[in-house]
Amino acid sequence: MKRLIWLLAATAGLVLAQDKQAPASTNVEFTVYLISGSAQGTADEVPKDLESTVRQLHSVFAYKSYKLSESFILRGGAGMASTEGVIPVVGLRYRFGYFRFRLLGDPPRAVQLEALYLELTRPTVGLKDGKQIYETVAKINTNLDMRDGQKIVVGKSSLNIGGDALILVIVPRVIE
Amino acid sequence: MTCIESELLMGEGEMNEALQDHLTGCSACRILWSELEANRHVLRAMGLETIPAAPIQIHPAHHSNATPWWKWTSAAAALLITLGAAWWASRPVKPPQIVSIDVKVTGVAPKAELPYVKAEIPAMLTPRVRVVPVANAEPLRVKMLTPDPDVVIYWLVDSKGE
Repeated sequence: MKRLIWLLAATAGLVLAQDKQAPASTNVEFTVYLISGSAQGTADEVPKDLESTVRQLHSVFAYKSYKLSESFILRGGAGMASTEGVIPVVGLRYRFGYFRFRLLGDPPRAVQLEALYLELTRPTVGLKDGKQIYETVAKINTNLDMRDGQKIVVGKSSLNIGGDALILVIVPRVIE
Repeated sequence: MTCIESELLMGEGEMNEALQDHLTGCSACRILWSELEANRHVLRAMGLETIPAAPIQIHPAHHSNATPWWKWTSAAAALLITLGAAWWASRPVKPPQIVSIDVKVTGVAPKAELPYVKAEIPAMLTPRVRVVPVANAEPLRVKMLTPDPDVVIYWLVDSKGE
């Protein structure tokens, strides 16, 4: 009986340790770049921070040019966090967020991001009950495993009829 | 009394005064009488003899009622096999899972040079599992490791192939 109690206690400890969330004081700052990959053009329009990333994209995909559309920073705790805004020039609205993250291991720590989403919408011509209606242009939903400081590229083709790609570059930075 | 009459009486085993008188005077009938008496004696002795019964082995009670060990083990094995087979047959079909593929890209081939190969989905995965199209399928996620360890690419492919 005593052994059984010890076994149960050890199992409970293991389960709790596995499910341990990031401490409340630990935040992660996600720097997000929205990039479009295009079959047209010859020159890339990206900041220096992204040059190495775009070089890798050129080595993998056949898109001729990459252009930064928008960048923003989302800082959040282990729980749900989101942000939204408008991409200049094209006028698309974006909504970016995640459900929660977990931090694992020693520095540089691994970040398990659950239910990351990005949705691009644009306003339609009509109104409904006097309110603007938006239609979804593209969206990304996925879970991600990343490391502190790593550049994670999440891409999806067929953003529009021209076959442009929607590319998201996420750089997490753990703030203890 | 004649010898024939006395033989008939002697054959029936009867003795009376007339027969006794005849036996006293006839030696042949007296010899016959003595032989018949000897035969009767032997037969009577044989009738009294007890014939030994056939050897019947009677086992102790606990041995006759106990089931042999091999019967129990056979029954237990058969039960286990039956239960195992029933469990195997009644297992639920595994739900479709999100597919994630890790790819290490070594180069890019021009699109025009790539042959278009359409893979056909089999109607049956096994004789028992039928392929059922999933309505809201998760996108296929391809992970690409680049020469730069700090850059990891995930490419999402929708069920439509986009």
